[in-house]
Amino acid sequence: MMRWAVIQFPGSNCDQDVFHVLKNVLAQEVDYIWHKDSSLKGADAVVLPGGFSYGDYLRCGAIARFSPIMPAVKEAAGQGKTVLGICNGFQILCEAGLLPGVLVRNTSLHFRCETIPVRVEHPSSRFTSEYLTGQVLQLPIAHGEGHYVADEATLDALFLHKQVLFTYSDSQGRTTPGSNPNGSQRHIAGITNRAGNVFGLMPHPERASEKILGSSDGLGLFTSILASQGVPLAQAA
Amino acid sequence: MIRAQVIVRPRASIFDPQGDAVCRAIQHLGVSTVKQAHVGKCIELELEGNDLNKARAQLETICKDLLSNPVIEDYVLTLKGAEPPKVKAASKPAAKKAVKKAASRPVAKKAASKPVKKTKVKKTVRRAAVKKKKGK
Repeated sequence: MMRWAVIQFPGSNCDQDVFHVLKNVLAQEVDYIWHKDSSLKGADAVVLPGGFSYGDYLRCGAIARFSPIMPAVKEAAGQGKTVLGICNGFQILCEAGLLPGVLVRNTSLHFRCETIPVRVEHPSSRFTSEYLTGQVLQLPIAHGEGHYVADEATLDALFLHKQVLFTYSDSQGRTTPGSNPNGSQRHIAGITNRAGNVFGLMPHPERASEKILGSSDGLGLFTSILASQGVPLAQAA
Repeated sequence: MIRAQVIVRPRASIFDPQGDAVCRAIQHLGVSTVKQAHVGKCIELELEGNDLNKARAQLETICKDLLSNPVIEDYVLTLKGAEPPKVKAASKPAAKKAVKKAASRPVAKKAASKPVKKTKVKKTVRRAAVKKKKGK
């Protein structure tokens, strides 16, 4: 069993979804950690959930990155612990400098809230080991600022070092202009840091972790993390 | 009192979907001479004290760390305020009065620094150009 910390910022709204999946679907030990706390209470893994921290004022994640809990999150990342940022959590990780690049307004200017195909780039990471290369997942997205931007050198390095784990594709796994919901450069949907222990993604795996919700394709992300730590799956759905 | 203004703009190399939408809306309204629009932010700050150099140093850090993201944005920081007048120690009340007078000057009308001034000039020229075209 792993001990997880789910950070709650003012404006987080996917914290309970993540908590539910970890606690009730995967039988893990989970704590909510308020953003004003300064300790992760010995957690092995940290989740920065989706939402609209600080109302998305200034830029998404720009204010949350200065929350009192963030030094502890950075410390955990430095120690090689698993740090997962989902949607707004991804934006916060980028603003905090734990991941390269930044997420800006969708090219269409529309808030996209739908379930879309997402392609797994490779399974050789602690977040994707339960998937197959090129596997197409059905995952929900819900964002207005998911357009991933970085300079060309950074983008090249991300692919070279296999830091891109998820890309937007069509249901056949092809990356076409129509399959990119937000204009992300090179269709990027989720990236890790160079060390491979910090992962940020715009899709919501926690909203697709039970069949009753229409898709359990996202559960593999969490079970991959557990597998990477040698944790047996007691009650996986 | 020091007043600061921070203009945050998307970098030219980054596609600005808001600016693009605004530009197209302007063209849709019949002003086809407008070829580009960029949407940024204007952040106005009021600071205690009157040491402009100290304030600038502090705000430069804030601009880089919080108010803008250097990956996608540039910023222009302008400061307006009164330096403490150089007076002899004996004439403190007069100094206070001078500071108060300087601080109470109206702010927004005149551009405080070159970049802002340049933008204003450009706008005026553009407006003039639009008027000229309309006149035809």
